[in-house]
Amino acid sequence: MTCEKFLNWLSQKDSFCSMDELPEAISLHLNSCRRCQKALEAHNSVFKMLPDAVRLSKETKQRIFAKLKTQIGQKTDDTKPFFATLISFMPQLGIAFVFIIALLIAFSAIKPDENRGTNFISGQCSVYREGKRIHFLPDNLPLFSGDRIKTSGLTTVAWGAKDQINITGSAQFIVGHNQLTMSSGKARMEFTSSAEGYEIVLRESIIKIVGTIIIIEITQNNESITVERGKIQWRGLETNKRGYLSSGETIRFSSGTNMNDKAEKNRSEQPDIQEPETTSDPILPD
Amino acid sequence: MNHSSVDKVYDAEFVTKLRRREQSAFKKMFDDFAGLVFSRAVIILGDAASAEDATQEVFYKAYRSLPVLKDGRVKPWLLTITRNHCFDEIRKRKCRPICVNQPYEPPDKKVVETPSAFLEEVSRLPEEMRIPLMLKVVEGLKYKEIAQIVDKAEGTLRNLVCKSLKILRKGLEK
Repeated sequence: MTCEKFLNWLSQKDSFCSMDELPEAISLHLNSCRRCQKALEAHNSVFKMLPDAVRLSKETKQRIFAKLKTQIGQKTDDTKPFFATLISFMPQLGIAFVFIIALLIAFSAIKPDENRGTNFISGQCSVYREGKRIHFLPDNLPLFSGDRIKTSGLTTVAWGAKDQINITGSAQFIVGHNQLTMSSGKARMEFTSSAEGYEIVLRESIIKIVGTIIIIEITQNNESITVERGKIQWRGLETNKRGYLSSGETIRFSSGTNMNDKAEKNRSEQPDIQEPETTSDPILPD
Repeated sequence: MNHSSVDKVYDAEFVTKLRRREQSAFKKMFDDFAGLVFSRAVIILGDAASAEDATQEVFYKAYRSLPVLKDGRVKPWLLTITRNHCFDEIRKRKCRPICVNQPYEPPDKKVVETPSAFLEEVSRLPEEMRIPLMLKVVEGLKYKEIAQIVDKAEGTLRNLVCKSLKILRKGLEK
């Protein structure tokens, strides 16, 4: 048995080769040939590693189910034919039409509030507005610039028909226009692909979303950003350096002595949210 | 890993609960089959992130179809949805040419020996090679069963699997 013959034999195998089941000639050759031993080990390691690589972890499973629940909850299941629905609402349509006209006249007289939020939030979180916590959080609460959010589980921030961020983890944010400032904690954020251009402001950096899933962690002296999927553009607040992070890459910023004034200012003027003594958050029902 | 052990057949009472979309029944179905759907999606799509999205979509489509569920043999039904969804996704991507002769560049350094890093390496194989390989190695399917999924002759599939194993073995030997 030569190495060439062994490798040809191995090239025809499409299953795990147990040492106990090898032909005698091959066993004898392997006893004295380290190179061919390594080849056999490499062949068998494919059968060991691949099943583990596709195993669904408990964490991933829970995450998928949480997103699935949100997806099912957001879609309406209208099984009634359109015209049947229309006909059944005929008497109400006339009244609704007059009501809508009245609303349009009323709204045309109202000066638009420039601070009015266009983001909506739902999920496991607390929202604080002007220093006060909003109790009995409804689904899809409109957010205003300056609102502060404390997430404690799966939270969704949405704007537009399809754009949204799914945030998982415990972290604190301040709402801005097309921007969230993250002040502390650790969160995984999944952006819909149309969320391109959205920004997350951290202590030391700003990241711009190009369609991605990211994990951000802020501690006392460091902040780190890991891209799980897709791509982000980052910019250091202190150095103004920019770069891209792709899937699997991580960047860390450490607090130095020459901190960017803006970043320092953002942190000191807005202390972390203190949890008042209240009842627990109303969790959205299953 | 051999998901053929997940051969649950639900009884009539449970099927009724599924048709009514009872949350506990749907959750149980998800718990029983999410692993199978996920691994099949990884095999076809080639990466865990895409497979995660695909798993969510497959179960969402299943949820919408629950009222017309025929019987308790949920496994083949879910795998059909998975297959159709994943191949639709591949068609949408239009990013990788399907060609056996597409050159595969072996890595310069030894492939990292962790399952997730190894999966990335496997994902670099052309789809025509990767999918049969993973169906054989991960799910332990026979070539006849693989042929029904990827629509290729059994002899061709065997050659593709052996060729894939040889390529990966060389990467691991470095």
